[in-house]
Amino acid sequence: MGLFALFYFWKGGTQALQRLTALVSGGILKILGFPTEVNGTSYSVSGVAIQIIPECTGLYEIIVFASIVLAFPAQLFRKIIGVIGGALILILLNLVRLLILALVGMRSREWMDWIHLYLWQLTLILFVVGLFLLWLSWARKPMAKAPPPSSPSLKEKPKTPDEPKK
Amino acid sequence: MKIWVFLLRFFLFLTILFLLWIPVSPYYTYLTLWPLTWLFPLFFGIKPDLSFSSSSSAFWESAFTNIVPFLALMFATYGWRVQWKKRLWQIFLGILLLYIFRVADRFLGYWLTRVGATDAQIAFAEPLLYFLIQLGKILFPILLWLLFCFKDSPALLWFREK
Repeated sequence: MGLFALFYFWKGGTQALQRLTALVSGGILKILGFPTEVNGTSYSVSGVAIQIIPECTGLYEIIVFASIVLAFPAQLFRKIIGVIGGALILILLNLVRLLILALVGMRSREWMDWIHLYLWQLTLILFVVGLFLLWLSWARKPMAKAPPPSSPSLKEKPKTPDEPKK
Repeated sequence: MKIWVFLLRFFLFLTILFLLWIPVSPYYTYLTLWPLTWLFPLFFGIKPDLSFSSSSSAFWESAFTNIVPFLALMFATYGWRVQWKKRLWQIFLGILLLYIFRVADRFLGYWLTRVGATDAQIAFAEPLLYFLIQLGKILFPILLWLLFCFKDSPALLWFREK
């Protein structure tokens, strides 16, 4: 809720992210050879106008992912790496999503609506959950530290014949 | 390895349930609007215009639901054979909670746009509405799944055992 409040009230930051998303996705399409015109938070490619609203930036997926990672008991530096790495991956995936949408939109508007619905809500949740589970499996691993050679393991206690049966 | 199997199962359930949800979504939309027909007269003394048709805009609006990812997460998680009764109850409870959240965001949305809320009311309700709509779509299914399955699911326990 804190992260959400930060971005909700910091309108300038959200708008800057929208402009950056439009600029980068429009720029990639231009590099790929499609006639693209970027204008603020929107761009048009081959007659298809795409408006980047806050949901299109991947911001909310990042907020949810970061919240879960930060709330989970783990070492601080692993949390920081998780949040930064996860945010970068989600931004990249979001850009891929926008590129796919634009490419599909050039062919069929109807298909674009369907893919927008499917890719926007559902697959991004899949990525948030997947990234969280991957981070969790890494965050739970013990630090690479060699145990002293002569130290007996505390967990493994040798069984004695006198030990009463439970 | 198990993590990939789980994600694959999740993806398959997500796709299948999404396709199954398409014909259901207009009915769900109606179900989320219905409480407003008695909530608005109760709170504001007015009857809102909630005329609903299965036009494309209403369809798209209703299709954005978080019930599909919640169900996909629950179905993809192991442990159904052992505790299917518990899982069914969890699914019922989860759907009920998601439905209540959806009604709450509809109530706030109609209140802000159709009733004519004051500036102070807008200042209070607007962030709440955005929270419910924008974050709720992603956060609530994951949160409910973690709440229900975290402790007793092998799919989530494997990393603890290792």
